[in-house]
Amino acid sequence: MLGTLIKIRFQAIADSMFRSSRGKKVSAGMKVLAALLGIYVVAVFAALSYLMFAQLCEPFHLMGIDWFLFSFMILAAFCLMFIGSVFFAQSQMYEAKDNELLLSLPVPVSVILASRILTLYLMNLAYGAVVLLPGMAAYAVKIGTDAVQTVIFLLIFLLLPLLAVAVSCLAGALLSALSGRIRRKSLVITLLYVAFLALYLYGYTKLMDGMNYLAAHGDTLADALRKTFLPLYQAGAAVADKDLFCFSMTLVYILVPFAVIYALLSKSFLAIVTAQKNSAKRRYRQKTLRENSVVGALVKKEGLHFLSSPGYILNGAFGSAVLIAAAVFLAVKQEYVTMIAAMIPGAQAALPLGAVSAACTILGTVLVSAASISLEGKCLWIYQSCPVSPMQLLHSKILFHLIISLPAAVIASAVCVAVIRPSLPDAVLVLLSPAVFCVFGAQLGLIINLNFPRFDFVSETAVVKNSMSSVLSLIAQAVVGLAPLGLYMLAEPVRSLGGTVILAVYLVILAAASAVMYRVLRGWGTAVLESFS
Amino acid sequence: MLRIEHLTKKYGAKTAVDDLSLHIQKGEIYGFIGHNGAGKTTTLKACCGIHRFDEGDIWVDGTSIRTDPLSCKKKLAYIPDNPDIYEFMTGIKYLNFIADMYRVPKEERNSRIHEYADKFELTDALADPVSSYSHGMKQKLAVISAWIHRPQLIIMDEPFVGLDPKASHLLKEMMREHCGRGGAIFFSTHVLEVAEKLCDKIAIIKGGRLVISGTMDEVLGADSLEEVFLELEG
Repeated sequence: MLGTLIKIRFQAIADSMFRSSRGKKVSAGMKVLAALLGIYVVAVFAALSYLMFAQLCEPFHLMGIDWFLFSFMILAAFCLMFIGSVFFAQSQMYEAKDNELLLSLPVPVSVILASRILTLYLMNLAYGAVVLLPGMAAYAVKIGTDAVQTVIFLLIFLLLPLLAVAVSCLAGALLSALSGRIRRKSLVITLLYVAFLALYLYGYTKLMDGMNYLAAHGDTLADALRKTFLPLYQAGAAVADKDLFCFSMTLVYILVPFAVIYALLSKSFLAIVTAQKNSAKRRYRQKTLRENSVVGALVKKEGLHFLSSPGYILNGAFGSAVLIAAAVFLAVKQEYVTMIAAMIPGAQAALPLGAVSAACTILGTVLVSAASISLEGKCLWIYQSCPVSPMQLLHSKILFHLIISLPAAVIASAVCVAVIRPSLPDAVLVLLSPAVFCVFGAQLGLIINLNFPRFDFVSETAVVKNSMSSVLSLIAQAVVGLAPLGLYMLAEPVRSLGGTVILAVYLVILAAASAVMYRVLRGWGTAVLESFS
Repeated sequence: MLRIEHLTKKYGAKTAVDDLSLHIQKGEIYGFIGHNGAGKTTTLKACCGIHRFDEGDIWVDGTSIRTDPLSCKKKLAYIPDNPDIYEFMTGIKYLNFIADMYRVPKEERNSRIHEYADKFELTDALADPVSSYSHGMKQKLAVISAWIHRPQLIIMDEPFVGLDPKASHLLKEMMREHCGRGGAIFFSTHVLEVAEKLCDKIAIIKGGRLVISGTMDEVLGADSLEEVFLELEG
């Protein structure tokens, strides 16, 4: 029974990737492409972990504080597991749509709980593997290891996710309880997630900045850690010194909290998942209702949908936030541009091209339109029965994509022009290209989503984050975004044209492609939309 | 008001609706009865332009839904069997959204929304998100949204499911009132007693084909609707 439940869970995840709700199966080629992309992402993260720990191995070993390296590895892995799984724990454990269905079946609550926890465990194990395994590999290569040390390390690697599961479940339960009592639930969850992520990224950048400091002053920091946080010291020492006492204590630190949380959840799971989660009731005050045009009302509807879902906000519009953050960074740290221009021969001439390419690549991660058709879901009948033309619906989705992406594009372009101070033609191209890219991306996303709609989703986040439409849109936009800089750097005949000409051609191509896609949407797109039933 | 001529709808090799013809006049409440999977929902969805069909045509007040779906949709309203409504909206925002879709003037939308919300005792919940509504409340919201733009034709799929007795009674009154004003109603139901008491005409469909249709007297004779239905279903 437990095996079946876990199988269903993973099947649902795979299904959200590889099947469209119209029964159209995703081709083997697409599956291979998605798998390759997944492997690429994992490989990049693993390589980063390897390089980071490889840099620290020798200095720490020379100082005789190998344990600090392992403590550090374990802490980094734990943080990644927690951040990666806390919201998943909330949505999959306490707010899963099939909780009530499963509770109505002759399946013991303990088995439902175990299936959820095991899924979380496997997910955390994967997060841990990206940090811990390359870390250990770096240690084995730089310092060397033996069988006992490897076994102890592997045991900790296999058991550490249990601690992350326990903490995530606890935090997820708190989030779930909180979200049931607050009005602006999606805003609070989005802010919390951004805060978590910002904290992690801040820690990570500080760590990279202070890598040399860490290597030089590791012993002082290690001493401080040993005195203040014994469990982390013991976990590191268990591996580094093959200390069985420390290993036993580490097992206690991992298994006891997990057992306590599991026991608590076993007793309260039913109460938590069946609790009324209605947010605070609002008092209705009659006001004169405002009239909107049809497209205006549809755009407003898209906005309400967007703002109601943290998963949609975080995964659909992250690129816009990153682009604005990058623009602010560029405005504050203008000297970086001068530095780069001085360091790399020919970089000054390529700065406008690089700025456009970077802005477009980041804008390519805005996935609002790529998920917007699927997100109509079971409510598609509302549009279908209203006197709304397919093109009006498509217009509203394009417009909403632009509302999310265009301001970021304009701000970033303006900052780039102010900082780089290009020639007038370059300035115009820098200002226009990202804006036109937004129009291009909005339509491309729609076309891909019309090809790969997914109306029978269980989670909106899965549609925005993992669906075939989103993944393909992300890849396609990244390729188009990187194209001008990539061609400039790799192809001499292209480079010889000069940055301004390349940018001008790029802008013309983007505009032409957008015009063609608009025609495609008017013809094929409306026909496809009308055929959905 | 609604004229269905030789409607045929296929899903791959399966014929869901087979050469169906029905005429619904102004002022009529027309009941559509059949077992599960008989083709009722497919027919209703074809009538309001949600489903395309393979053969035949459907006219709403003289306009073909095949050639001019938007004009037809302006004249009708549809309530599905399962009121899946935008959960991210509040009740009032949803009703205002529907009013926008049908271009209902400001004054009329305000008065109609509040009139019907008061009738269905939904006014206090209008500021709450639809996600917090019960099935019955969503059904009431769907009914109100169908009545806002004063359509000539209302198409409903199992409209009484989930409604409490008071709301069911109110809906029946509203249906009669609507037809009294010259509108028409075409609805499916499994509740034969309701159909028998409420409908001016009924049609029974089996395996996608029309088995019998006409006024209550023509269809029933001396029997009850239940007896006729069970006999025809075999």
